[in-house]
Amino acid sequence: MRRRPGIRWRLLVVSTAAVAAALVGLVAGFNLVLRHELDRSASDRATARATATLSQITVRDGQLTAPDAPDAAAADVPVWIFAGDRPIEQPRAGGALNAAAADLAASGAQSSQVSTPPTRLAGQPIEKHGLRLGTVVAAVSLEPYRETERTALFLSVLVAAALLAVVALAIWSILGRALAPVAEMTSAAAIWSEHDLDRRFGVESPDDEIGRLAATLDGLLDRIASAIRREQLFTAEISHELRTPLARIRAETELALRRERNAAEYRAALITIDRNALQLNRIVDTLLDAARAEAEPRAGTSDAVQVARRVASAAAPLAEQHGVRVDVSGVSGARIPVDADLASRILQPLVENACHYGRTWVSIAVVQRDGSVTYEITDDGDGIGQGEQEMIFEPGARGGAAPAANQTGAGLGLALARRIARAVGGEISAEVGPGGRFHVSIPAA
Amino acid sequence: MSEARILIAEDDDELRELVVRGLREEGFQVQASASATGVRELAERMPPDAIVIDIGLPDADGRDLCQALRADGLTAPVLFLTARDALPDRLSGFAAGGDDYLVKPFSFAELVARLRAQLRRGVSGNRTTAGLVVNPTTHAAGFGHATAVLTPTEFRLLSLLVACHGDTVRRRQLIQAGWPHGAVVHDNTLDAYIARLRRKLRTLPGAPPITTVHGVGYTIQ
Repeated sequence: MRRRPGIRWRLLVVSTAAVAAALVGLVAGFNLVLRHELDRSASDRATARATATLSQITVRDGQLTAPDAPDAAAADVPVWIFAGDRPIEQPRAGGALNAAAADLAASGAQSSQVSTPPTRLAGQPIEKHGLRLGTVVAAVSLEPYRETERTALFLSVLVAAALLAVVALAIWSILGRALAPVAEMTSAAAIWSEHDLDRRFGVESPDDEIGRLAATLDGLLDRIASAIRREQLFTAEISHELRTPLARIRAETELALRRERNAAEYRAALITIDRNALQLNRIVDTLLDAARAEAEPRAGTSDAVQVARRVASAAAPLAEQHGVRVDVSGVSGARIPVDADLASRILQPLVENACHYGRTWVSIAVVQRDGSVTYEITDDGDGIGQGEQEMIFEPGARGGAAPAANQTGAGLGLALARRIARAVGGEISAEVGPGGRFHVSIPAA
Repeated sequence: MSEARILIAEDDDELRELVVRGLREEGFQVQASASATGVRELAERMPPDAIVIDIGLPDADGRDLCQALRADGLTAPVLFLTARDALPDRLSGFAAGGDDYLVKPFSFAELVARLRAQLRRGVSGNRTTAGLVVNPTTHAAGFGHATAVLTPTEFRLLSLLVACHGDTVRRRQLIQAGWPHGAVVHDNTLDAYIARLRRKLRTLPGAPPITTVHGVGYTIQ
């Protein structure tokens, strides 16, 4: 694909074209005016010559007498004297000029023009007592004037071209200087976004286009940085979740193998390893489900209340351990555009969390309204502290009250649940206590 | 050497039990706690020869715990356990006064080898304290009966100054201890933090002041 020329080139072309058009107009106008002036000057000269000759002509008894000697000062301006239509004096000029002079005398006009050779003719009537006796015609060659015009045209085009070149260079350099900050900022932002997300342009008060661009780029970098930090936090937490059971398995295995043990010790070690392998399995399953939800958010549908019941029964052992009762309420029939497995992944961490913190009961209420299905998960525990509503969804965050030995990973549970919920177009929010209160809303199928 | 006393701060019950059991089998005298508070109490009662600290403790950051222990006058080597292996995470442990680190999952044999190496070079014996006590859980500073609440950054700066009391702490060291690796910290930012710390220390009657060492850094006598 051909690359579009840069903004500097385009601005240069546009502005140079505008200047060029103006210069062309200027040069053309100048040359037209010059030509007009020169023509008038030639005309004046011919008229003056004719008038001068006229004053030297004597009329006696209706007879015209030409002056004796031609005016030496104006030897290059031939003069014809016609008595009526008959030439009584005629310079040595070409036939074309003679004919043109005769035509002018006959027509009685004041001037005429011949193109070859380029000549301007001026006629002055010879009158006596109101009677026209003849005509004096003077001819001025336009050749030197044309020569002047050509020289003027050549020089003016030359000057205009030089001016255009200078202007184009000036525009190029001004544009370069004006756009340099943009180019610098573009490359800086590109480098920072890749290598150094903490750098900012830090414009105090953006009062011009460049400043506003810098502020915009800063905002963009902020958003990229926070997205990446969130992602890093998430990855770090995943690695923490995976590494803790792995560390236990490794330590247990190494310890068991460091010396001879009896059968009971080996058995205990294997049980620990098995338990941790199962935990790893659970975490990996959850992560894979989350990845699937993000890659392919809407696959299958499920009954909203049945999902709640399923999660409640999965949490039953935990609930029993903590001595809390889990109730599910809501009318069957509401469907959500998520399959039951994935929907359980969203609800389970919330319900397990409620089982940990609730004192005597946990409730899952399913409500359908405004085209979405909302799960309200409440408990009678201490609830969420002021300012903790968002913090608890951070990867690695643990509620203030008790560092729960959560089965699927305390640090990732809520963060993952929110991630999956958002992937399917839903949202999870928490309310400040007393009493734990979470809302999960998912668009209805 | 085999009688060396090791203190362990690890919140994962199973892993803590395993490490305690393994180190005891290696002949160490081991005590462990799941929280920063517990570890500080144990360290006060029985000054250890080496400490193993998990960075992710429930009540405080392991690095803050390390700084607090250093401020308490503890000079025993500290080995961090961390599940986060990014460079800034590994470096921050050293800035907080750690001597070594291991990334989970670690080899138990390597843990033992590193502990033994630290113990061989280990500087035993406690330094005297400046009288200022810092708390990694609440990020508070105390002197006598009075306490002042600090921000996490102020806590880290003060901990380092208290840990090195009597010596001048270079500006660079303070910045490394107070801010994450790679953060751009201007000199006047550090000065502003020190000024705030001084104001807070003045609320503790009798607490030693922070003195400026021109062109070098700061010190607490």
